[in-house]
Amino acid sequence: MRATRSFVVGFILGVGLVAVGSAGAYHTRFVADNCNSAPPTPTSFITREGSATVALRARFEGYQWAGGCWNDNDRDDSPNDPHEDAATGGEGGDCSGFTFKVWRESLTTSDASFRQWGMLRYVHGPYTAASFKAGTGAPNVTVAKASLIKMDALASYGHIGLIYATNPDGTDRIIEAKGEDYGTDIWTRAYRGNPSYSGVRRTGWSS
Amino acid sequence: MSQRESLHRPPSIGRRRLSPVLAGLVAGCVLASLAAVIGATAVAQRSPAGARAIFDATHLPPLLRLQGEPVRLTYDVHCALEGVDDPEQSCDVSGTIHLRSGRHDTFRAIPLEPASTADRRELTVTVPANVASSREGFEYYAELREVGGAGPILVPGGGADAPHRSLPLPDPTEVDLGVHTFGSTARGMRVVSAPWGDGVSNVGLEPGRALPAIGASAFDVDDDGSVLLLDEAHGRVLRWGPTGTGPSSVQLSIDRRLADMALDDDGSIYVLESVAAQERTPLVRHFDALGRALRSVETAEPGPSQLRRGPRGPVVLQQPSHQWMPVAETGTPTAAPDQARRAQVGRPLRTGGEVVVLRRADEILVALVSNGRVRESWRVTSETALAEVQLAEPLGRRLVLVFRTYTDATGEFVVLALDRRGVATQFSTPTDEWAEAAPLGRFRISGRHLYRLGSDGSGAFVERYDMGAPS
Amino acid sequence: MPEAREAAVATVMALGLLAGAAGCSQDGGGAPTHLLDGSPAAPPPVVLDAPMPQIGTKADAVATSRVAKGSLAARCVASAPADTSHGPAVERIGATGVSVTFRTASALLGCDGDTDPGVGDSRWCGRALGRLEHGRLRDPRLDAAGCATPAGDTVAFAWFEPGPDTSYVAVGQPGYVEVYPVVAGLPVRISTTSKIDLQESRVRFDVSEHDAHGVLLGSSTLDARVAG
Repeated sequence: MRATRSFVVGFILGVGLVAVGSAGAYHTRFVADNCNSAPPTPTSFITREGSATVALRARFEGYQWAGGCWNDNDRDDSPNDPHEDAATGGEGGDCSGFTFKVWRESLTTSDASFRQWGMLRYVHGPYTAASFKAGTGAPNVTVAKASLIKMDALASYGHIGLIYATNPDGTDRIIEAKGEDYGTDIWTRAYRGNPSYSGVRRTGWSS
Repeated sequence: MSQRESLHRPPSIGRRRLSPVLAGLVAGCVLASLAAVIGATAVAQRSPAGARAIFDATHLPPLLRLQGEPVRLTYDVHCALEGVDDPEQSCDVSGTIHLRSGRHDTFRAIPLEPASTADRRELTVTVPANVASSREGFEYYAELREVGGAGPILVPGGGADAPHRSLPLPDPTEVDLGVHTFGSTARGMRVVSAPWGDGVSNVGLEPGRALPAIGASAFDVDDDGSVLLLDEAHGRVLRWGPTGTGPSSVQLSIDRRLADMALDDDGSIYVLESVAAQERTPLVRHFDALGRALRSVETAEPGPSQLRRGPRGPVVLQQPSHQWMPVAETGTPTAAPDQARRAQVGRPLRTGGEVVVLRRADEILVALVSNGRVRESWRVTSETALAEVQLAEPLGRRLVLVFRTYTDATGEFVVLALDRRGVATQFSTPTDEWAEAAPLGRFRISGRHLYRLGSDGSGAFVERYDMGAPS
Repeated sequence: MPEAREAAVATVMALGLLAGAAGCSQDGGGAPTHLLDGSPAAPPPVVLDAPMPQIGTKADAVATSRVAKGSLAARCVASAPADTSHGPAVERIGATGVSVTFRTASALLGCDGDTDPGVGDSRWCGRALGRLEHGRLRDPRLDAAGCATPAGDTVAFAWFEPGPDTSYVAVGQPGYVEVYPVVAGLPVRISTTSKIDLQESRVRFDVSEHDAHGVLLGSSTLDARVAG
């Protein structure tokens, strides 16, 4: 009887140890369990409409620093990612990775042609928000903020968001991967008039 | 058992006691590990890889216009089929506008036509001249459909109950600002300041890897001149008395992310959060003056942008409809469907009537409206680019209009006090937005003062400008 | 005479091979002979417990208010967001990269360059902003997009935070070690043209830290990803 009780105590302890140890591990398994390294599909043209679709499919899919893959189930499958760990492997892109995929860019910075990346392809791209702000790379060019339209971007040294619509009061609805506590969604922002932000446009839109 | 025997009890008896525990520990670890792996695999397999359907639309309503201007209504429609990964393959869409002159006629249906724009999918219609020329303006809403898909979406969401309204300005006062001269800004009196940090008198920055810094995202001013600063990073409000004493701290149970805030007449506090729970819309939370949670209500639409005191309670400017909706009246929350049904295009004023604002290109149209008619209006034009309108609110017989003007290198807020003749008072303020705040929460009017929320590398502050005695 | 001819041919071949080997060692990863500003690449002032050859980079701390007007450093400092700079700007010149790093109230700002900073129209090819929390960087802010050698190879930059006793940071490069002195207590902006994974937008820096006498304090791999 005593032995049985001891066994049960040990068993409960063992289960508890594994539970505590694996609770964090589960949140970091999205990339490992779902994402791939499939090559992109070259495409001969992209439209702002199509890019808006790419962006809307990333909406609600979370945020991951250095990240770049997501499914399209309208939920963050790795919520509450720890802030401190750059390699948590959670769902979603960060702001620049999200922009890279929406703008369907190449990993080669001298190449301005179009690449259709799968949602579950884990790719961030070579550009940071600061890179986009400077118009670095063949696909990216700085433009006057007053001329920005849908699917153009506003970029600071630390953040980038894409214009989804403009409101009657002069604010913009921005679709952006905002941060670990915010995820990827559409918010009203006043980035356009903020001197920290520059206007950036992807080259080559079909029109 | 003799004492000697008890002293010399073989150690194997101790080991015999430990063995079941160890065996149980190992068994528990193995079983739990197996369960974790199987569970994680199962959950991972639940994540679908397929693309879901998308159907969304954006529309910039011509809330105000000049008399005689032709009106074209355009809807940017996003439609993608379920399971189709190629984003350039979109679905067929159609739509109908329901339109009426004034506010009481019967709606008539006019089909929307696709616009010939290769880059964007648009549905559009030109408003018939006899409707556009109505002195009472016209009201409308759109029904947009995916051919062969699910039910239509209404824009705005309230449909016939709360349509968009476009009003002509019969004789707006013209204000031409010309080219803005940057660098001559006015500093108000600093009535409140709080350094960044985690102490009792500090205001916090939100944690996380996201840049830029976010903190002190909103404020409001009580009728006695007390200033309340939303320290959302610490889940509290900091309060300074009318003479600047303080701050005292009021803890609030909020989600500690960027939010807007408004006080009610009884000193209670409303907080409009900006991030919603999964498949929900953001919350408006209500607290008493001591921070005790009273009630909360979800906004009707997913993109609320601004919270203000209304005539009978707080009102929220909601997107995508871009309409003001009451979220509570005399402390009782207004359910989401009722919010949408009672939406209106102008911000309802505590003094009665509403104020309607439209920024288009480099001009701002603003009108004071009551009973559906324009009482006073202004057309402000600028040769320097205009960004958002931060505030449009009567102060006595004047209208205080605050908006941002910018170039690619700089930006300032412009403050105008307008009357029937034009500009009675004009000055500029710096933008002071080192930390991100609620996009339209930077200014408040209380009494005869204009208050401005700013931040720099050392902290957040509120400055006050005397707008003169209301005439 | 045939023996003399054979000897001459052998000498010429040997000389040719030597010259080829010297050329290969320059092009295929040997120690560079000059830094980006044209100054000769020289060993660091202290020989480190690290592989040879070792090339010392230049580092100079200048008050942000006193950077030479019109200089490349001045153009970097002028780009700071609204809040004022704190403390000095550290200018660095290496074999493949130049940089300026300075602090603001809560962030570290940097500019990365791939050309001689003394040339009149030279520009920064990259910029970085790193948020500081409790004085520490949250991320090395890898920049691997805009900078390249004259041959077109990517030059990647990242910040490395040295330990409190570190006086020199050494970065393994193809065929040599590049030595960065720690200056003004700021994170060290290091650069490389090797171990750059463009597919994953990721760079691995092999780093060792040394005290003022060159003694090895520790080695690590900075695995930096493009982010933010």
